[in-house]
Amino acid sequence: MEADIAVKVEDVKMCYNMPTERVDSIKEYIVKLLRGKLHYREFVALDGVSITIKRGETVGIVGLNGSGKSTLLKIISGILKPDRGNVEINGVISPLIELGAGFDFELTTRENIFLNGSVLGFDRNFMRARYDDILDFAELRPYEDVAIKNFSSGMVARLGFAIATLVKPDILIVDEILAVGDALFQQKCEKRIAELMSGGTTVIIVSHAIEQIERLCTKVLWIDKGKQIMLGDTATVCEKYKMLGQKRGELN
Amino acid sequence: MKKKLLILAAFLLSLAFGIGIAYKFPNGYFKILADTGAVSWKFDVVSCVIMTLISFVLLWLLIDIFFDKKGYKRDIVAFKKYRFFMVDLVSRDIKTKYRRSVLGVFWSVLNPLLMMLVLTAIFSRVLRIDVTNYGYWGGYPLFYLSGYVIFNFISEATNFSLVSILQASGLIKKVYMPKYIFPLEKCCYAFVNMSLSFIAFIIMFCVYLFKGDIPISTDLFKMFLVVVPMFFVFIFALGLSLFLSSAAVFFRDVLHLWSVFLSLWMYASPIIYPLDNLSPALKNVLRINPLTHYIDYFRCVLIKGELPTLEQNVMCVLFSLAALGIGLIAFRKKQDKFILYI
Repeated sequence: MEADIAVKVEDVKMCYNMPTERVDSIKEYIVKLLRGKLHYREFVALDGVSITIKRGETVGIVGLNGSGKSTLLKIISGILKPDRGNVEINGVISPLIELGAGFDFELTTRENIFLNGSVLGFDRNFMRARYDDILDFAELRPYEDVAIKNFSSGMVARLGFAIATLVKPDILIVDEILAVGDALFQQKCEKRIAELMSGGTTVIIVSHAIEQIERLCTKVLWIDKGKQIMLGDTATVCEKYKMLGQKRGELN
Repeated sequence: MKKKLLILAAFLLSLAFGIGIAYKFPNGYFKILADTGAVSWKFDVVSCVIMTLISFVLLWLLIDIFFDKKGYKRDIVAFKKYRFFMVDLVSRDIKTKYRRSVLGVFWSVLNPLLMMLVLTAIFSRVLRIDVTNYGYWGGYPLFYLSGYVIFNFISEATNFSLVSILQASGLIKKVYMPKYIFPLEKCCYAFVNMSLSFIAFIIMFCVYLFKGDIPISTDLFKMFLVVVPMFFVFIFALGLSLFLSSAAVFFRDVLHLWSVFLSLWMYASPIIYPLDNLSPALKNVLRINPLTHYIDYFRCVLIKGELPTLEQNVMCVLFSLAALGIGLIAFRKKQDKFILYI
């Protein structure tokens, strides 16, 4: 793979086998198998999506609910393995797939920072060096020794964002997370993402806030029902996407 | 396609090997039969089947590694990155185990000692089993403790690993990490527990040493060989755990069945009674149980002061590798599907 390419997704297809009824025990499985009732409904979450992201690019992914955006992110970060197609990654990924991934809600902020670091594969010394920055950025200094279960969702989001961005990943994945914080924190996050971008980090953003995507991204991928509709520069794709949104809104 | 053919060839090869073993050793491969004199053709068949299965699994594992060199390499590289995470998990498990208990970590030492008191009272006072007749030092307490340590390790490691993937669903669904970390971590945690309960054994050993029940000689140095069976049993438990943890994802029945199986397994292993006490026929049956070999090895170096025989070493290595092979193959085949079922 060429050195300046961070993520390369080629013709990816992902199907979920959804059994019409859930089979959880051996007896059920055998009974159903013998009766020939073991049907699966195939659900195609993604089909034929390809995208190449260069180092330092910021890419937005737009689409309606259930269009396969999160599935694509999961495939890129290696959580899901696609049924068909190829994914190549160049660099350290710091996934922000969802709120509170890798947190233990019983533990305190301090313990969670180190736990989350080790989940991402960083050792204690590495995290200790960044510990103060993380606390300051998340504005959680007074709550250093409070268990996370007592936090509001905004506080958890702040902490997650602070950890994921302060470890300076090569690839940062942001899934709707910016929607949780208040306006002030959102601004701070956007500033931070801009900083990372100028530092050469590749950023992938999923958001329904189309203005945000227009502000931050250099390239946008639009998927609908698992199919790739459009891939191109931000202005063109966003305009088409907004037009479709308006049309559907009028229909309803 | 080529892989399937190779696996078929491996099966035929190991079948020939198994039959060869039975033909070459008409007294059964397991040495112990020869000295009991009670040899039947049935046992030849059984040992032939076991040897076939073991060698087949090992050959399959080799083929699997050969065809998926990159995958295995990636897993090993990933371990380097996630080792901190594993250490974190182990220390968290230990912390939560002793949370809100006054004696804390001492329970790990105290528990085996108390169990030992109960079982010694029953078996050596009421049922009058005398193990010193068979050359074990220190009477029933040491005899029981040495078996307990091994069995407890296997039972803890498998019980914890069984639910390890299911419990980690929150992480597995959201962050990428090699999934074998979870059963491996549980085995390490159980291994730490085993080391702690081994302290109980050492305490009792010293007590008997001072009492003069254990002859002070160079035989005592053979005690350090104990790390060998501990290592074997760890590999064995890891293989079992890998298999069970992936099976539990698809069939939750395993969770319920396993505890029943464990209690059966405990009584079918020479933990509370000595192997020598049994009839020759029963002894043969117990030789099929891998745990018998580990416990035997363990006691042999610890409380008999004997060097293990070649047969003991070979059996322990073979059972460990076969368990690891089954575990690895099953786990790697299914690990990408875990996320859809948890």
